[in-house]
Amino acid sequence: MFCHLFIILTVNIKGSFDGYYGFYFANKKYNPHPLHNICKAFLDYNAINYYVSNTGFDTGYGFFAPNVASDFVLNFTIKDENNQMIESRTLPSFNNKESFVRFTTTFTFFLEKLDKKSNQGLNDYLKIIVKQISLDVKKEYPKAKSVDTKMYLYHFPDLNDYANNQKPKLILIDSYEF
Amino acid sequence: MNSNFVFSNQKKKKNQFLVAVNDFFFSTQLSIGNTDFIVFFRILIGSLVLVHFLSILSDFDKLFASQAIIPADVSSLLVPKHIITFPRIISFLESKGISEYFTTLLFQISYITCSIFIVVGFLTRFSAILLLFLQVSLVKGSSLFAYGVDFFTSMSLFYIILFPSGRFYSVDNLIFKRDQKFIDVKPFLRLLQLHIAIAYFFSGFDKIIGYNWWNGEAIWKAINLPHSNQDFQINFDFLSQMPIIPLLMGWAIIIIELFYPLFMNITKTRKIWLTLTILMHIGIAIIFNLYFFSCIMIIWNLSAFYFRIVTGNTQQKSL
Repeated sequence: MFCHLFIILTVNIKGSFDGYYGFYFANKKYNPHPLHNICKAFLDYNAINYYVSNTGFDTGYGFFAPNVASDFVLNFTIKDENNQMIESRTLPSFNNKESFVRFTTTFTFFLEKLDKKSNQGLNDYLKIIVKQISLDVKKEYPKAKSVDTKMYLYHFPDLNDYANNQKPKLILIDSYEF
Repeated sequence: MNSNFVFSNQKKKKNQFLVAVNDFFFSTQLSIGNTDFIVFFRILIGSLVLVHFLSILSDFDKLFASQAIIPADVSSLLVPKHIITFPRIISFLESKGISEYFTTLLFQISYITCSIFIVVGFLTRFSAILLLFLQVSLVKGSSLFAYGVDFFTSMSLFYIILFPSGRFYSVDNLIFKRDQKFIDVKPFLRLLQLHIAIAYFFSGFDKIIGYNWWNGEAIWKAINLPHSNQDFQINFDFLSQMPIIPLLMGWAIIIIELFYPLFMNITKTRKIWLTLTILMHIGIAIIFNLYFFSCIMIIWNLSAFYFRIVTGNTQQKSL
Protein backbone atom coordinates (compact mmCIF):
# COMPACT_ATOMS: atom_id res chain seq x y z
CA MET A 1 0.00 0.00 0.00
CA PHE A 2 2.77 2.42 0.89
CA CYS A 3 4.62 1.63 -2.35
CA HIS A 4 1.43 2.25 -4.28
CA LEU A 5 0.84 5.59 -2.56
CA PHE A 6 4.47 6.51 -3.10
CA ILE A 7 4.05 5.88 -6.83
CA ILE A 8 0.91 8.06 -6.92
CA LEU A 9 2.79 10.80 -5.08
CA THR A 10 5.73 10.56 -7.49
CA VAL A 11 3.46 10.77 -10.53
CA ASN A 12 1.84 13.89 -9.13
CA ILE A 13 5.09 15.60 -8.16
CA LYS A 14 6.44 15.02 -11.64
CA GLY A 15 3.13 16.16 -13.11
CA SER A 16 3.30 19.42 -11.15
CA PHE A 17 6.82 20.09 -12.40
CA ASP A 18 5.81 19.26 -15.98
CA GLY A 19 2.85 21.61 -15.74
CA TYR A 20 4.97 24.39 -14.27
CA TYR A 21 7.76 24.07 -16.85
CA GLY A 22 5.27 23.64 -19.69
CA PHE A 23 3.51 26.87 -18.75
CA TYR A 24 6.33 29.17 -17.63
CA PHE A 25 9.14 27.81 -19.81
CA ALA A 26 7.12 26.87 -22.90
CA ASN A 27 9.63 28.06 -25.50
CA LYS A 28 12.64 28.52 -23.28
CA LYS A 29 15.50 26.37 -22.18
CA TYR A 30 15.52 25.31 -18.55
CA ASN A 31 17.27 22.99 -16.16
CA PRO A 32 14.73 20.73 -14.49
CA HIS A 33 14.78 20.56 -10.72
CA PRO A 34 16.67 17.49 -9.39
CA LEU A 35 13.47 16.23 -7.75
CA HIS A 36 11.78 16.21 -11.17
CA ASN A 37 14.67 14.18 -12.60
CA ILE A 38 14.49 11.70 -9.72
CA CYS A 39 10.74 11.26 -10.17
CA LYS A 40 11.14 10.85 -13.91
CA ALA A 41 13.90 8.27 -13.52
CA PHE A 42 11.82 6.33 -11.01
CA LEU A 43 8.74 6.34 -13.25
CA ASP A 44 10.78 5.41 -16.34
CA TYR A 45 11.93 2.25 -14.61
CA ASN A 46 10.39 -0.59 -16.64
CA ALA A 47 8.40 -2.32 -13.93
CA ILE A 48 7.00 0.94 -12.56
CA ASN A 49 6.21 2.23 -16.03
CA TYR A 50 4.39 -0.97 -16.92
CA TYR A 51 2.45 -0.90 -13.66
CA VAL A 52 1.26 2.70 -13.92
CA SER A 53 0.47 2.61 -17.64
CA ASN A 54 -1.72 -0.49 -17.30
CA THR A 55 -3.64 0.66 -14.24
CA GLY A 56 -4.34 4.32 -15.04
CA PHE A 57 -2.13 5.59 -12.22
CA ASP A 58 0.15 7.37 -14.69
CA THR A 59 -2.29 10.26 -14.87
CA GLY A 60 -1.77 13.51 -13.05
CA TYR A 61 -4.66 15.51 -11.61
CA GLY A 62 -3.77 18.96 -12.84
CA PHE A 63 -6.92 19.43 -14.89
CA PHE A 64 -7.03 22.95 -16.35
CA ALA A 65 -3.79 23.63 -14.52
CA PRO A 66 -1.59 25.65 -14.25
CA ASN A 67 -3.54 27.34 -17.01
CA VAL A 68 -6.60 26.56 -19.07
CA ALA A 69 -5.25 25.42 -22.41
CA SER A 70 -6.46 27.09 -25.56
CA ASP A 71 -8.87 25.20 -27.73
CA PHE A 72 -9.22 24.80 -31.45
CA VAL A 73 -11.93 24.77 -34.04
CA LEU A 74 -11.72 22.83 -37.26
CA ASN A 75 -13.75 24.05 -40.18
CA PHE A 76 -14.45 21.61 -43.01
CA THR A 77 -15.59 23.00 -46.35
CA ILE A 78 -16.76 20.15 -48.53
CA LYS A 79 -16.61 20.83 -52.27
CA ASP A 80 -17.93 19.06 -55.34
CA GLU A 81 -16.10 18.40 -58.63
CA ASN A 82 -16.87 21.96 -59.78
CA ASN A 83 -15.21 23.32 -56.69
CA GLN A 84 -18.57 24.49 -55.42
CA MET A 85 -19.20 24.31 -51.70
CA ILE A 86 -21.61 21.56 -50.69
CA GLU A 87 -21.50 22.26 -46.97
CA SER A 88 -19.37 23.82 -44.28
CA ARG A 89 -19.24 22.31 -40.81
CA THR A 90 -17.04 22.04 -37.73
CA LEU A 91 -17.48 18.49 -36.47
CA PRO A 92 -17.80 14.97 -37.88
CA SER A 93 -21.07 13.09 -37.30
CA PHE A 94 -21.55 10.94 -34.27
CA ASN A 95 -24.62 9.21 -32.88
CA ASN A 96 -23.92 10.01 -29.25
CA LYS A 97 -23.07 13.08 -27.27
CA GLU A 98 -20.29 11.34 -25.35
CA SER A 99 -18.61 10.58 -28.69
CA PHE A 100 -18.39 14.32 -29.36
CA VAL A 101 -16.82 14.83 -25.93
CA ARG A 102 -14.21 12.17 -26.75
CA PHE A 103 -13.58 13.55 -30.21
CA THR A 104 -12.92 17.09 -28.99
CA THR A 105 -10.21 15.86 -26.59
CA THR A 106 -8.14 15.32 -29.76
CA PHE A 107 -7.82 19.06 -30.10
CA THR A 108 -5.44 19.27 -27.15
CA PHE A 109 -2.92 17.55 -29.42
CA PHE A 110 -3.13 20.51 -31.78
CA LEU A 111 -1.36 22.61 -29.15
CA GLU A 112 1.82 21.12 -30.59
CA LYS A 113 1.28 23.44 -33.56
CA LEU A 114 1.79 26.41 -31.27
CA ASP A 115 4.93 25.01 -29.70
CA LYS A 116 8.01 26.46 -31.42
CA LYS A 117 10.04 23.51 -30.19
CA SER A 118 7.85 20.92 -31.89
CA ASN A 119 9.68 19.06 -34.63
CA GLN A 120 8.72 18.48 -38.25
CA GLY A 121 7.87 14.84 -37.53
CA LEU A 122 5.26 15.88 -35.01
CA ASN A 123 3.82 18.46 -37.40
CA ASP A 124 3.58 15.82 -40.12
CA TYR A 125 1.81 13.50 -37.68
CA LEU A 126 -0.62 16.25 -36.80
CA LYS A 127 -1.33 16.78 -40.50
CA ILE A 128 -2.08 13.08 -40.89
CA ILE A 129 -4.57 13.27 -38.01
CA VAL A 130 -6.31 16.28 -39.53
CA LYS A 131 -6.37 14.51 -42.89
CA GLN A 132 -8.00 11.40 -41.43
CA ILE A 133 -10.67 13.48 -39.72
CA SER A 134 -11.28 15.47 -42.91
CA LEU A 135 -11.59 12.34 -45.04
CA ASP A 136 -14.09 10.93 -42.58
CA VAL A 137 -16.20 14.07 -42.94
CA LYS A 138 -15.88 13.93 -46.75
CA LYS A 139 -17.11 10.31 -46.77
CA GLU A 140 -20.54 11.52 -45.66
CA TYR A 141 -21.03 13.34 -48.97
CA PRO A 142 -21.18 11.05 -52.01
CA LYS A 143 -20.75 13.98 -54.41
CA ALA A 144 -17.76 15.42 -52.55
CA LYS A 145 -14.53 15.75 -54.49
CA SER A 146 -12.40 17.55 -51.93
CA VAL A 147 -12.46 19.03 -48.47
CA ASP A 148 -10.74 22.23 -47.35
CA THR A 149 -9.88 22.09 -43.68
CA LYS A 150 -8.91 25.11 -41.68
CA MET A 151 -7.52 24.87 -38.15
CA TYR A 152 -8.32 27.89 -36.00
CA LEU A 153 -7.17 28.81 -32.52
CA TYR A 154 -10.20 29.95 -30.57
CA HIS A 155 -9.30 33.18 -28.84
CA PHE A 156 -11.79 34.46 -26.30
CA PRO A 157 -11.18 37.97 -24.92
CA ASP A 158 -10.24 38.27 -21.28
CA LEU A 159 -12.69 39.72 -18.75
CA ASN A 160 -11.66 43.30 -19.28
CA ASP A 161 -11.57 43.13 -23.09
CA TYR A 162 -14.95 41.39 -23.21
CA ALA A 163 -16.45 44.07 -21.00
CA ASN A 164 -15.14 46.57 -23.59
CA ASN A 165 -17.09 44.76 -26.33
CA GLN A 166 -14.27 42.79 -27.88
CA LYS A 167 -15.54 39.63 -29.54
CA PRO A 168 -14.13 36.10 -29.74
CA LYS A 169 -11.75 35.53 -32.65
CA LEU A 170 -10.76 32.56 -34.73
CA ILE A 171 -7.06 32.77 -35.50
CA LEU A 172 -6.06 30.72 -38.52
CA ILE A 173 -3.23 28.36 -37.63
CA ASP A 174 -3.09 26.21 -40.73
CA SER A 175 -5.14 25.14 -43.72
CA TYR A 176 -5.20 21.93 -45.70
CA GLU A 177 -6.85 20.55 -48.81
CA PHE A 178 -7.53 16.86 -49.11
CA MET B 1 20.75 8.03 34.35
CA ASN B 2 19.56 11.17 32.50
CA SER B 3 20.53 9.73 29.12
CA ASN B 4 18.64 6.52 29.96
CA PHE B 5 15.56 8.58 30.79
CA VAL B 6 15.81 10.55 27.52
CA PHE B 7 16.32 7.35 25.51
CA SER B 8 13.37 5.69 27.19
CA ASN B 9 11.21 8.78 26.50
CA GLN B 10 12.20 8.80 22.81
CA LYS B 11 11.47 5.11 22.55
CA LYS B 12 8.07 5.69 24.18
CA LYS B 13 7.24 8.48 21.69
CA LYS B 14 8.35 6.29 18.78
CA ASN B 15 6.15 3.48 20.02
CA GLN B 16 3.21 5.85 20.42
CA PHE B 17 3.78 7.07 16.87
CA LEU B 18 3.86 3.52 15.52
CA VAL B 19 0.71 2.65 17.45
CA ALA B 20 -1.03 5.74 16.05
CA VAL B 21 -0.02 4.82 12.50
CA ASN B 22 -1.18 1.26 13.07
CA ASP B 23 -4.54 2.44 14.44
CA PHE B 24 -4.94 4.79 11.47
CA PHE B 25 -4.51 2.05 8.88
CA PHE B 26 -5.82 -1.04 10.64
CA SER B 27 -8.80 -1.86 12.79
CA THR B 28 -8.27 -2.31 16.49
CA GLN B 29 -10.07 -4.84 18.66
CA LEU B 30 -12.82 -2.32 19.29
CA SER B 31 -13.42 -1.07 15.76
CA ILE B 32 -14.86 -2.97 12.88
CA GLY B 33 -14.44 -1.58 9.38
CA ASN B 34 -17.78 -0.84 7.78
CA THR B 35 -17.93 -2.73 4.51
CA ASP B 36 -20.66 -0.59 2.95
CA PHE B 37 -18.14 1.57 1.07
CA ILE B 38 -16.80 -1.49 -0.76
CA VAL B 39 -20.27 -2.55 -1.88
CA PHE B 40 -21.17 1.01 -2.85
CA PHE B 41 -17.94 1.45 -4.79
CA ARG B 42 -18.27 -1.86 -6.62
CA ILE B 43 -21.90 -1.43 -7.64
CA LEU B 44 -21.64 2.22 -8.63
CA ILE B 45 -18.39 1.86 -10.54
CA GLY B 46 -19.65 -1.26 -12.34
CA SER B 47 -22.84 0.59 -13.28
CA LEU B 48 -20.98 3.67 -14.43
CA VAL B 49 -18.56 1.65 -16.56
CA LEU B 50 -21.51 -0.14 -18.16
CA VAL B 51 -23.54 3.00 -18.87
CA HIS B 52 -20.47 4.87 -20.12
CA PHE B 53 -19.66 2.08 -22.55
CA LEU B 54 -23.25 1.85 -23.76
CA SER B 55 -23.24 5.62 -24.30
CA ILE B 56 -20.71 5.30 -27.14
CA LEU B 57 -21.60 1.81 -28.38
CA SER B 58 -23.20 2.95 -31.61
CA ASP B 59 -20.04 4.96 -32.40
CA PHE B 60 -17.67 2.20 -31.31
CA ASP B 61 -16.31 1.49 -34.79
CA LYS B 62 -15.82 5.16 -35.51
CA LEU B 63 -13.83 5.73 -32.32
CA PHE B 64 -11.94 2.52 -31.63
CA ALA B 65 -11.87 0.11 -34.59
CA SER B 66 -8.94 -0.34 -36.95
CA GLN B 67 -10.62 1.98 -39.50
CA ALA B 68 -11.81 4.49 -36.93
CA ILE B 69 -11.97 8.19 -37.67
CA ILE B 70 -8.28 8.17 -36.75
CA PRO B 71 -7.19 4.72 -37.98
CA ALA B 72 -5.30 2.40 -35.68
CA ASP B 73 -2.08 2.52 -37.68
CA VAL B 74 -2.02 6.29 -37.16
CA SER B 75 -3.04 6.44 -33.50
CA SER B 76 -0.73 3.58 -32.54
CA LEU B 77 2.41 5.43 -33.67
CA LEU B 78 2.68 7.12 -30.29
CA VAL B 79 1.92 3.98 -28.27
CA PRO B 80 4.89 1.96 -26.97
CA LYS B 81 5.07 -1.52 -28.45
CA HIS B 82 4.71 -3.29 -25.10
CA ILE B 83 1.23 -1.82 -24.54
CA ILE B 84 -1.61 -4.11 -25.61
CA THR B 85 -4.17 -2.02 -27.44
CA PHE B 86 -7.50 -2.96 -28.95
CA PRO B 87 -6.25 -2.49 -32.56
CA ARG B 88 -3.26 -4.73 -31.77
CA ILE B 89 -5.64 -7.37 -30.39
CA ILE B 90 -7.59 -7.14 -33.66
CA SER B 91 -4.39 -7.52 -35.73
CA PHE B 92 -3.22 -10.45 -33.66
CA LEU B 93 -6.53 -12.32 -33.91
CA GLU B 94 -6.81 -11.53 -37.65
CA SER B 95 -3.45 -13.25 -38.11
CA LYS B 96 -5.08 -16.30 -36.49
CA GLY B 97 -8.01 -16.15 -38.90
CA ILE B 98 -10.50 -14.40 -36.61
CA SER B 99 -12.22 -11.47 -38.30
CA GLU B 100 -12.30 -7.95 -36.89
CA TYR B 101 -16.08 -8.07 -36.79
CA PHE B 102 -16.04 -11.13 -34.54
CA THR B 103 -13.28 -9.70 -32.34
CA THR B 104 -15.19 -6.46 -31.91
CA LEU B 105 -18.40 -8.28 -31.09
CA LEU B 106 -16.64 -10.52 -28.57
CA PHE B 107 -14.92 -7.48 -27.04
CA GLN B 108 -18.18 -5.60 -26.62
CA ILE B 109 -20.03 -8.60 -25.17
CA SER B 110 -17.15 -9.27 -22.76
CA TYR B 111 -17.03 -5.64 -21.69
CA ILE B 112 -20.75 -5.48 -20.99
CA THR B 113 -20.82 -8.88 -19.31
CA CYS B 114 -17.89 -8.08 -17.02
CA SER B 115 -19.50 -4.79 -16.02
CA ILE B 116 -22.73 -6.57 -15.10
CA PHE B 117 -20.80 -9.24 -13.21
CA ILE B 118 -19.06 -6.56 -11.19
CA VAL B 119 -22.35 -4.88 -10.34
CA VAL B 120 -23.89 -8.11 -9.06
CA GLY B 121 -20.61 -9.38 -7.59
CA PHE B 122 -20.22 -12.54 -9.64
CA LEU B 123 -16.67 -13.77 -10.25
CA THR B 124 -15.89 -10.26 -9.12
CA ARG B 125 -12.13 -10.21 -9.07
CA PHE B 126 -11.77 -12.12 -12.33
CA SER B 127 -14.34 -9.87 -14.01
CA ALA B 128 -12.53 -6.77 -12.78
CA ILE B 129 -9.17 -8.06 -14.03
CA LEU B 130 -10.59 -8.86 -17.47
CA LEU B 131 -12.50 -5.59 -17.65
CA LEU B 132 -9.40 -3.60 -16.66
CA PHE B 133 -7.48 -5.32 -19.45
CA LEU B 134 -10.24 -4.55 -21.97
CA GLN B 135 -10.67 -0.97 -20.79
CA VAL B 136 -6.96 -0.15 -20.82
CA SER B 137 -6.55 -1.71 -24.28
CA LEU B 138 -9.37 0.53 -25.51
CA VAL B 139 -8.01 3.69 -23.91
CA LYS B 140 -4.41 3.12 -24.94
CA GLY B 141 -5.44 2.20 -28.47
CA SER B 142 -7.28 5.48 -28.91
CA SER B 143 -5.36 7.70 -26.55
CA LEU B 144 -6.28 10.82 -28.51
CA PHE B 145 -9.89 10.26 -27.45
CA ALA B 146 -9.14 9.52 -23.80
CA TYR B 147 -9.83 11.93 -20.98
CA GLY B 148 -10.05 12.05 -17.19
CA VAL B 149 -12.93 9.61 -16.79
CA ASP B 150 -10.93 6.87 -18.53
CA PHE B 151 -8.01 7.12 -16.15
CA PHE B 152 -10.25 7.13 -13.11
CA THR B 153 -12.13 4.15 -14.53
CA SER B 154 -8.86 2.22 -14.82
CA MET B 155 -7.91 3.10 -11.25
CA SER B 156 -11.37 2.19 -9.99
CA LEU B 157 -11.21 -1.24 -11.62
CA PHE B 158 -7.77 -1.75 -10.10
CA TYR B 159 -9.18 -0.99 -6.67
CA ILE B 160 -12.09 -3.36 -7.24
CA ILE B 161 -9.49 -6.05 -7.92
CA LEU B 162 -7.51 -5.10 -4.83
CA PHE B 163 -10.44 -4.77 -2.42
CA PRO B 164 -12.43 -7.80 -1.19
CA SER B 165 -15.18 -6.56 -3.50
CA GLY B 166 -16.87 -9.91 -3.99
CA ARG B 167 -17.16 -10.70 -0.29
CA PHE B 168 -20.13 -8.50 0.60
CA TYR B 169 -23.66 -8.38 -0.85
CA SER B 170 -22.58 -10.36 -3.86
CA VAL B 171 -23.56 -13.36 -5.91
CA ASP B 172 -20.11 -14.76 -5.12
CA ASN B 173 -21.06 -14.88 -1.46
CA LEU B 174 -24.28 -16.76 -2.24
CA ILE B 175 -22.65 -19.28 -4.52
CA PHE B 176 -19.31 -19.91 -2.93
CA LYS B 177 -20.49 -19.66 0.70
CA ARG B 178 -17.17 -18.47 2.04
CA ASP B 179 -16.38 -18.46 5.75
CA GLN B 180 -17.66 -15.20 7.19
CA LYS B 181 -14.42 -14.50 9.01
CA PHE B 182 -13.51 -10.97 9.92
CA ILE B 183 -11.87 -9.01 7.11
CA ASP B 184 -10.25 -5.77 8.11
CA VAL B 185 -11.40 -3.35 5.39
CA LYS B 186 -9.94 -0.27 7.04
CA PRO B 187 -6.65 -0.41 5.06
CA PHE B 188 -8.64 -0.33 1.81
CA LEU B 189 -10.69 2.62 2.98
CA ARG B 190 -7.53 4.46 4.05
CA LEU B 191 -5.95 3.73 0.67
CA LEU B 192 -8.90 5.25 -1.15
CA GLN B 193 -9.00 8.24 1.21
CA LEU B 194 -5.28 8.94 0.88
CA HIS B 195 -5.36 8.56 -2.89
CA ILE B 196 -8.22 10.97 -3.31
CA ALA B 197 -6.63 13.40 -0.85
CA ILE B 198 -3.39 13.36 -2.87
CA ALA B 199 -5.36 13.83 -6.09
CA TYR B 200 -7.22 16.91 -4.87
CA PHE B 201 -4.20 18.42 -3.17
CA PHE B 202 -2.15 18.31 -6.37
CA SER B 203 -5.09 19.44 -8.43
CA GLY B 204 -5.33 22.53 -6.22
CA PHE B 205 -1.58 23.00 -6.06
CA ASP B 206 -1.21 22.84 -9.85
CA LYS B 207 -3.89 25.50 -10.17
CA ILE B 208 -2.40 27.86 -7.61
CA ILE B 209 0.93 27.93 -9.47
CA GLY B 210 -0.91 29.32 -12.51
CA TYR B 211 -1.44 33.09 -12.26
CA ASN B 212 -4.65 32.98 -14.32
CA TRP B 213 -6.31 31.20 -11.42
CA TRP B 214 -5.54 34.15 -9.11
CA ASN B 215 -7.52 36.73 -11.10
CA GLY B 216 -10.54 34.80 -12.39
CA GLU B 217 -9.27 34.57 -15.98
CA ALA B 218 -8.91 30.77 -15.81
CA ILE B 219 -12.58 30.37 -14.87
CA TRP B 220 -13.60 32.90 -17.53
CA LYS B 221 -11.57 31.11 -20.23
CA ALA B 222 -12.76 27.64 -19.20
CA ILE B 223 -16.47 28.45 -19.30
CA ASN B 224 -16.06 30.12 -22.70
CA LEU B 225 -14.19 27.33 -24.45
CA PRO B 226 -15.84 26.55 -27.81
CA HIS B 227 -16.97 23.06 -26.81
CA SER B 228 -18.08 23.93 -23.25
CA ASN B 229 -21.57 24.86 -22.14
CA GLN B 230 -23.22 23.19 -25.13
CA ASP B 231 -26.12 21.50 -23.34
CA PHE B 232 -27.55 24.25 -21.17
CA GLN B 233 -26.17 27.26 -23.10
CA ILE B 234 -25.95 29.34 -19.93
CA ASN B 235 -25.24 32.99 -20.67
CA PHE B 236 -22.15 33.99 -18.69
CA ASP B 237 -21.74 37.44 -20.23
CA PHE B 238 -22.74 39.10 -16.97
CA LEU B 239 -19.50 37.84 -15.36
CA SER B 240 -17.47 40.29 -17.45
CA GLN B 241 -19.35 43.10 -15.67
CA MET B 242 -18.69 41.49 -12.28
CA PRO B 243 -15.14 40.10 -12.50
CA ILE B 244 -15.10 39.54 -8.74
CA ILE B 245 -17.34 36.50 -9.26
CA PRO B 246 -14.98 34.46 -11.48
CA LEU B 247 -12.12 35.53 -9.21
CA LEU B 248 -13.94 34.17 -6.16
CA MET B 249 -14.99 31.04 -8.04
CA GLY B 250 -11.37 30.35 -8.98
CA TRP B 251 -10.16 30.79 -5.43
CA ALA B 252 -13.03 28.70 -4.10
CA ILE B 253 -11.98 25.81 -6.33
CA ILE B 254 -8.35 26.16 -5.31
CA ILE B 255 -9.24 26.22 -1.61
CA ILE B 256 -11.65 23.27 -1.87
CA GLU B 257 -9.01 21.17 -3.60
CA LEU B 258 -5.84 22.32 -1.85
CA PHE B 259 -7.25 21.95 1.65
CA TYR B 260 -9.24 18.81 0.91
CA PRO B 261 -6.79 16.52 2.81
CA LEU B 262 -6.96 18.79 5.86
CA PHE B 263 -10.66 19.50 6.17
CA MET B 264 -11.80 16.02 5.19
CA ASN B 265 -9.71 14.73 8.08
CA ILE B 266 -11.48 16.94 10.61
CA THR B 267 -14.83 15.49 11.68
CA LYS B 268 -16.55 18.87 12.09
CA THR B 269 -15.64 20.08 8.58
CA ARG B 270 -15.91 16.80 6.69
CA LYS B 271 -19.59 17.05 5.80
CA ILE B 272 -19.40 20.62 4.49
CA TRP B 273 -16.20 19.90 2.54
CA LEU B 274 -17.71 16.79 0.97
CA THR B 275 -20.77 18.81 0.00
CA LEU B 276 -18.64 21.57 -1.53
CA THR B 277 -16.59 19.05 -3.49
CA ILE B 278 -19.68 17.34 -4.83
CA LEU B 279 -21.22 20.69 -5.76
CA MET B 280 -18.01 21.56 -7.59
CA HIS B 281 -18.31 18.39 -9.65
CA ILE B 282 -21.99 19.03 -10.37
CA GLY B 283 -20.91 22.45 -11.65
CA ILE B 284 -18.29 20.80 -13.87
CA ALA B 285 -20.95 18.47 -15.26
CA ILE B 286 -23.35 21.31 -16.06
CA ILE B 287 -20.82 23.71 -17.56
CA PHE B 288 -18.38 21.37 -19.30
CA ASN B 289 -20.90 18.60 -19.98
CA LEU B 290 -18.47 16.07 -18.48
CA TYR B 291 -21.21 14.03 -16.85
CA PHE B 292 -19.35 10.74 -16.57
CA PHE B 293 -16.23 12.36 -15.15
CA SER B 294 -18.25 14.17 -12.51
CA CYS B 295 -20.10 10.97 -11.65
CA ILE B 296 -16.95 8.97 -11.07
CA MET B 297 -15.45 11.70 -8.91
CA ILE B 298 -18.62 11.87 -6.82
CA ILE B 299 -18.55 8.09 -6.42
CA TRP B 300 -14.94 8.26 -5.22
CA ASN B 301 -15.76 11.01 -2.74
CA LEU B 302 -18.79 9.25 -1.31
CA SER B 303 -17.03 5.88 -1.17
CA ALA B 304 -14.09 7.37 0.69
CA PHE B 305 -15.83 9.65 3.15
CA TYR B 306 -19.54 9.06 3.42
CA PHE B 307 -19.73 5.75 5.22
CA ARG B 308 -19.51 5.16 8.92
CA ILE B 309 -16.86 3.39 10.92
CA VAL B 310 -18.31 1.25 13.66
CA THR B 311 -16.46 1.37 16.96
CA GLY B 312 -17.48 -1.28 19.47
CA ASN B 313 -21.14 -0.71 20.39
CA THR B 314 -21.02 2.93 19.48
CA GLN B 315 -21.33 4.12 15.91
CA GLN B 316 -18.62 6.65 15.18
CA LYS B 317 -19.87 8.77 12.33
CA SER B 318 -17.38 9.30 9.53
CA LEU B 319 -19.42 12.40 8.68
